[in-house]
Parts: sequence; C-alpha cells; structure tokens
Amino acid sequence: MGFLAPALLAGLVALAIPPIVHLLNRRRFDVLDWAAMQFLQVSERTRKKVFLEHFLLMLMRMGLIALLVLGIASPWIRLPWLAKIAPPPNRDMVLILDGSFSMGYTKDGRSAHDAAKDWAADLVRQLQVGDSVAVIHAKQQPTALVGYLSTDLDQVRGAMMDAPKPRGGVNMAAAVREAILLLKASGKGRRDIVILTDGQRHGWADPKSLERWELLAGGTPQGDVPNLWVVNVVPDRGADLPNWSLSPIQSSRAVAAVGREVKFKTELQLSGTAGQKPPDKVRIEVDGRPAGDQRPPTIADKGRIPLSFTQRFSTPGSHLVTVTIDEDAMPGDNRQDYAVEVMPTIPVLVVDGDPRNARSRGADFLRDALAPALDTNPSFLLRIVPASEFSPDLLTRPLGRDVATAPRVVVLMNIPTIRPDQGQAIEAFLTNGGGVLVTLGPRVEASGYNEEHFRDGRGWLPARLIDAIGDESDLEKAPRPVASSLECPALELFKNDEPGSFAHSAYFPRHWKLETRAEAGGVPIALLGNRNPLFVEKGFGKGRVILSAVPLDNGWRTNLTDLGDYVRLVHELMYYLAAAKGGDVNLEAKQPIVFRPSDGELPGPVTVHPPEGPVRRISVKEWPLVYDDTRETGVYKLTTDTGKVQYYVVQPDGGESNLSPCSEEDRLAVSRLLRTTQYVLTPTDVLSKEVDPETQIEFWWLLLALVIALLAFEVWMTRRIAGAK
Amino acid sequence: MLRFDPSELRKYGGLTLIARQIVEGYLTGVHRSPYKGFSVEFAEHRQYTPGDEIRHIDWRAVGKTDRYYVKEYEEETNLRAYLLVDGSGSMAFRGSKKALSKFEYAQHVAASIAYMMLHQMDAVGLITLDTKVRAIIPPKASPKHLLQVLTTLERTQPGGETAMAPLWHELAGHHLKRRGMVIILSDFFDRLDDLVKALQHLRHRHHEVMLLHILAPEELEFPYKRLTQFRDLEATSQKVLVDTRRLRDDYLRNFEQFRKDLKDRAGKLRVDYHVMRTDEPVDRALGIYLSRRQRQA
Repeated sequence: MGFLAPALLAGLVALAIPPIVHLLNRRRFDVLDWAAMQFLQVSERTRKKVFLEHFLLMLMRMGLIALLVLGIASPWIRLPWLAKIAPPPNRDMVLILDGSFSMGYTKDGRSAHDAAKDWAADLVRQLQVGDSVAVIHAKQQPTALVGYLSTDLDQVRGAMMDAPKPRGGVNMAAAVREAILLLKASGKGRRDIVILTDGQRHGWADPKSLERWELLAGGTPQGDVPNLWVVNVVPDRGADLPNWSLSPIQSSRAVAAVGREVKFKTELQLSGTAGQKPPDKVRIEVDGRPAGDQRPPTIADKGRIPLSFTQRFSTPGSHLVTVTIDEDAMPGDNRQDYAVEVMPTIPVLVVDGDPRNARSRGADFLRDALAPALDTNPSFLLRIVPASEFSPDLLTRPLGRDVATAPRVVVLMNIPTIRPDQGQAIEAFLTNGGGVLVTLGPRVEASGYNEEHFRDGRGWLPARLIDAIGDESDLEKAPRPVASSLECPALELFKNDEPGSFAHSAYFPRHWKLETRAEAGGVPIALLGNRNPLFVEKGFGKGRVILSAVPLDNGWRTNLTDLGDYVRLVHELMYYLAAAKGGDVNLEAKQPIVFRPSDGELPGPVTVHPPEGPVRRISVKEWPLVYDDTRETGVYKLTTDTGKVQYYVVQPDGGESNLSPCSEEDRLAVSRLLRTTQYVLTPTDVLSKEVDPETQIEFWWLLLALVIALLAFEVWMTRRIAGAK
Repeated sequence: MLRFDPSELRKYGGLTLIARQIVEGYLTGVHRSPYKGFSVEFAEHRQYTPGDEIRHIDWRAVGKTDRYYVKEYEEETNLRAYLLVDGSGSMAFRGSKKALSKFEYAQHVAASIAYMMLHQMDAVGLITLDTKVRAIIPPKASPKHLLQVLTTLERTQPGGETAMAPLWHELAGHHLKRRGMVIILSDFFDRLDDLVKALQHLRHRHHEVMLLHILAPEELEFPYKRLTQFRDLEATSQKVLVDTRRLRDDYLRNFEQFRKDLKDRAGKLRVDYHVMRTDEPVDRALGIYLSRRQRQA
C-alpha cells in the first residue's frame, strides 16, 4: 500500500481540528445567574450518555477528516480482489503527434498526419469521463497543442484537428520528456503516453535518436516512465518507398560582397527504391524571383545528384536563395532555403605591427590581396594603421563615409604586444559579434599575449603561445598544411591538395608553436605536417577569432604569398570572420533570431513573417530584436517600417526524407532503453488492457464512499442530538 | 422607588375578595366599611358635634382636656390577611434585562393586593422572609397602614439562601395565631415535602392559604440553546456548566413535575395555587386570580 500524493498526508494535522473546536466550545459559554438550580440536576446515566454522544461525534468528525485526507492523497494497494471490483481507474494521457515532415507523406490523398489525427480522435472518443489528456506536437522542438492535462475532451479533439501541417524534423525524446514532466504531477493511477508516428526509422531509432533515448532513459528513473504506447498510424506504408529530396544548401560564405560570385551547393537525394527517375528540373530562386533552372541527369548515381550553382547579388542587404523541385508524395523536402547577407564592401581594419612605413611591410600583402590598387570596386574596404596608432575608438568608427562601414573584421598583424586598453577594446568588439584575425610573426612577444589575452583560457586569445620554432634556412624540413585537417568552412576550398595549391605547396620554415586546451575553447582548424596548429579558432561572445601561427605575409621565408591560393585564403578568412557579426542567419530549430540593422536604423516596429502561422508585428524599443519562436523550420522574413528586409532560415532535418521504416531490432532497441514501451495498432489495444492484479489499485473511491456514509451518519447523529435537545 | 400604580386596579374596583370560609368574627358577605362607626377597635378622637350620641363621648379625655371628644372606632373586618413575600436570592432572578425580577413582580402583586384589601377595609399584614423572618407588619385595616406595607416592601432586597419551610413553621407557631388568610408569594424553590408539612401546619391553624407561584417565563420554558454556566443566585459558589439543549427536556420534566406535585399536594390541603408569570401584566394576572376566586365563591 502506498500513496500517489504522499505529501498531501500532511493534511492529517487537520485531525486536531475537532478536538480543538470541542475544547474551544467548552471554553466559550454564557454565564447566567439562575434560581431554579434544583432542576438542572441530571442523572449520571444521562450525563454519561451525553458525554459518550459528544465523544462519538468528535471521533466521527476526526474520522471524516482522516478519510478525506487519505482519499485526497490517492492511496493504492495491490489486492487482486479489489482489482476485480474496482471501477476502471481514470487515466492521465499525453498524446504525442509526430509533426515531422515525413508525416506529410501522402498516399491516396491522405497523409500519415491525417491518419494520426483520426486515430487520436478515435482514442479520445473512447476515453471515460474524468480522464485527462494533453497533446504535444513532436518536432525538432516539441510544441504543446494542449499544454496541460485537460478533462475537456472536446477541446483536446479540436486542438488535434487544428494541428499545424507537419514540417521539419523531430526530436521524439524531447517530446517524451515533456510528456513525462506533464505526467509527473499526475495523481492518477494510470498514466499513458501515446506516440502517433509513421514508423519511420529516422527520428525513432537512428543513431542520433537512440542517443537521445539513452540520455532520456539515463536521466529518468524507470518508475517515473509511464506506459509508452507507440502507434504506427500507417502500418501499410511500403518498406522501401522512393522519395526524391533536396539536401540543405551550403555555401562557404554567409556574408558576400555586392557583385561577387558566391557558390552554393546542394544535392538531389533518392531514398528508398533505387533507379527512380529524378525530377525533370531544379528551380533556383533569389528573393522569391526565378534565377534559373538546372536539369539534373536522368540517371542518378547511387541516388545522389550533386548540384552547384553560383550567384551574384547586385544589391546589398539580406537575400534568400531557394532551390525547389516538383511536388511529390512528400512535399516537406522539395524545397531548401539559404539566407545570405550581401554587403557593398566588407570593412576590415588592419593593425600592422611593422613600424616601417615602406612598401615591404607585411600588411601590404593583405592590401594587395583584399583591395588591390587597380581594382576600382574592391570587395573589401581596408584601412591599415600602425600598432602605435591603434586606439579603441577605431573599432567603432566607420572606415568610409557610410555609417555602415564600421569594421567587421580586425587583423592584428604581427604586433609585438597588445596593450591592455587595446585588448579590452578587442574583447568588446568580439563580444558584439566582430571577427578578429591575429597573425604571429617574429616581432611578437609571447609573455604579453599569454598573460593579458590568453589568461589560461579565460581570455579571447584561442591558444597559448609557446615559442617560434623552425629553421628559416632549412626549406626542406619546413612543414606544410595537412589537407585533411582543414575543418573550418572558410577552408573548405583548400582541401584540394593539387600541386600549386595551399595544402600541397605552401610551406612554413618557421612558425609559432601553439598550445591548445579543450577547456580554453580554442579549436585547431588547420594543422601543419609537424602536428602543430597553423590556425586555431575560438568563439568569443557573439564573435569569433582565428589565431594564425604564421604572419600571413612573406616573413620567415614562407612561399605563401607566392601562391595563387593566398588571395583566396585571405578572402575566405575575411568572409568567414565578417559573417560572425550580426550572428547566424541560417539557424538550427529553436535558435533565436537576433536582428540588428547594420545601417544605423532607429528602433521601430518589425514585422515577422514566420513559415507557419500568422504574421506578427513587434514593437522594438532597442536593438537587437530577439525573436525566439523559431521552432518551425523554414524562412522567417523580418521587415522594418523603412522597408529593410532580413531573411533567416531555420534548417530542416534532411534525414526525414528517408522513409525507411523501423525494423524489429530498431523497436527492440528503444524498448530496451524505455522498458514501458509497447507497440500497438488500435485504440482498443491501449484502452482495453486488463488491470494486472499486481497493479497498484487506487481505492480513493472506497474512502470517498466511506466519507459519504460517515457524513450521512454524522448529520443524522448531529440532528438527533440537536433534536434531542 | 416602588413602581406601584393604584390605577392598575381601578378596573377591578368592583371585584371583591370573597372569603371562602369563616376566618374570624362573622361573615358579613360583602365587605364594605365606608364609614367609621361603632366597631370594637378604636381608631381616633374627634371633636364632639351636636347630634353625636352622648355615650360615645370620651369622658376621660374631657377630664384631661376639658373638651368634648367623641371616640371613633373602626368597623372590625371579617378578613385578616397576611402577605408572605419571599425575599430569598432566587427571587432576584429576572429573565431579561427589561423584565421585572420575580421579587419585583411579587412586590407589585403584594402591593396591589394590600391596596385592594385595605380599600375594602380588610386587614392586611406583611411578612418578608429571606434567611429568616425580616419584617412582620401585623394586619390592620387602616388606610394609613398601606404606606407602612408599601414602605416595608420597597425596602426589602432579595438575597441569601432560604429554606422556607422552617420559617413557615415558625410563623404558624408564633406569629399567625389568629386564623386568617395567608397569601404566600414565592417561587417555592425548596424541598417539596418540607413545604407541604409547613402548609399543613398553617392549615392546622385554620388559615386559608393561597400560593402565588411567581415564575419567570425562562424558568417555565428554558429557552437556552448555548452552552451555559448557571450560577446559583442563593449560593454563588455553586456553578453548573450545562449543555442547555441537551438538558432542556430533563429540566422541563423536572420542573413541571415539581409544579404539578406542589399544586396537587396543595389542592389536597385545600390550599389555593396559582402561577404568575413575570411577563404577564400584574393587573391582568391579579384580575385573572380574583375572577377565579369570585367564581369559586
């Protein structure tokens, strides 16, 4: 025997109320001077009778309170005979509706999502009065359709019928966690979670999902996991359904310059039965306007057709690149979007540690690479200042006439020491989303860097500087970049190690030895052949910083500046670092949108067009606008009253395109983690399960009946005593 | 100040107190003595005026004053009544603040009876009792006697614990030797057997005894519903905490039994018994009683 809500047993202190009231009443009496005292004498028998009646009444009232408190605490017991006579216990149920876009797969005009809603409506119809239901729409982030256990079953049915169309991926473990939390406060004996899904392996038993289930099972005591009913609402869906989909668009640059070519990549993927004819054409759109078609080959190799295209943007601002294919049975994966920020020029401040004011100083290599003198319309607006003239206000002051030309990237080039005030200004610049490139050369003094800016990993510098190593005279032993170690998107282009390329041909006779630590946050994104890091990256605040072990000029007899890839390398690094400012525009689900106009626009109303649901108008009193309702995948278009448009894209889960169903082994894998998992087909399977004799039977109803009987007896007795009086 | 309004009895002026039996002297039927005349009891002297009988001249007074005075006598009454007013602590009970206490009520009744009897030239005496006999005013029929009766009544305050029966015995044995009418105004809260024995004693002395049982309505109805501590008016140390609702039946049964026994046993002794509620107007209560006396006569 036990109690579902033992904390409520604290109410037993109320047992003291009847004796207290009794004693208080004995202390509260009228006083009367009386003459006929001789008639007040009652017999001892009557006196005992009165005492007994009052005592019994008090005991009865105490019993009433005790039974009431015990009943409220929901007592349970394991008694087979009680299980037979007990009315079916009420249940609390959480329905989890799979909201991933695979549920949108349509067959004979009816999607799995429709089938799930019908199935759930059928189940709710069979529930009994007093049962309560909550509904969760499982997506990459779960959404509550009925966020509490409601006994209004009509409301539950209505909420399910109004459920939004399926889109994006699913994190089913997160939805189950939400359901467990909802049921944790349940006081009922039967607690069920019913998952309505399409039996797809992805999102249920793929490695990532299994990892999530494992985390959930590890963090939840087995006793806290209610009955978990898993329903495949489309059991007759084929095992190997063909489906063409588009993989998410990728680009090396989230920030581009006006008129410059930006390359985008995606893939046409076939899941299911091989040898299917791919879509006739792939349409490309920019900002909703057609920007060309591509005709994929008619025969797919291994079910994957890589697609790439380039695009130039003639106007600055936010742009949306969209790729679509023709509608098929699963509409959720026929479109991919990508947001790009296009700038007139990217402002870069170069702080040069070379005191010489001559043509041969290191910063000039960067100038020639980023903004050549002959280029009348360069992508970068460059300003070079000597280290001695680097003042904190330079990081916020426009580099050109336009107010929007405050530096996006700062390059600290071979500076001997960075003064504390300069360091603090850089820290603030990074915190606000700026990008910083630090190049190390012969002039650098390690102690200042380590003590002031690395600070045992707490500073903004990604790695500790050990020493400059290598022999400039020995070119043969000079280490070269390891192509496979180039992990950063900015270095994607340089993984090719053909002769003459950066990865194949660049050598660095001398470089700084850097020490990285996991806890310091610095991650090597490029290694040299001697396993020493060439570049180390660290995110700091909203910005990012890359530390280069070489000066990125022709110092230390490197051939880097002689290579054709030098220009591309510094371009990509600059684009990559510039993209840090203003945060990401291509987001994960639930990652908040942080919008701050770069052109100094005053705060005002912003209209948000989400991918699903009504348009929202938000009044902004201070930048940035943080919009965190991004659980729906797709395009979020933000518009200010001055007409400025900013696109954000929440990327979908590409794995949803693979409709492969769970195998028996997959189902068992989840069952092993969550022991209460049972796979069923019909609502009856959930509802008609007989009560196990060993099940905890709640008998609050028995106590309630006793309370009613005792209450009637108490009323009768009170009236009898009052009547006798 | 005693609240006695003789006008209360004006409407009963026609009613007469009719003796049921010969008390002393002879029965004249209707007692009416509007004239001072030739009775056996001297009342006062007055100056002789022509026409007065010579035999009524007080020669002794002529010898002393050298003036002629005629002796006047009260006509001797056929009724000698004693009003016994119980002044014990229990008579101080009043049901509500606005109501008369039982003693005040008894004062009003006694005063009314005295006034009426004196108006009819009957002799009225007063005896007040508490723990002992407090005052004894012998019966007289003089109109001036009323003032003495009323003053004594007014000065009497109820208090003390009373055992009435011994006092009645004492009165019957020593003070009420000449038979007459004994009107007892009390709540009679005493041992019934003792009371009956005392009544027997009074009856043995050939007194006509009338019991006017003065009771507050609260004593008759016991309307209390809350837990109440009753404090004895006679013995203040005695307190009883009572669940009144629970006790009411027992109380009413005991009380009614006492009243019935008193009435029955008084009836057997040919003692008249009448209940007077303190919430009834005195004149009405008295009127009802006198009407009944008249009918009995």
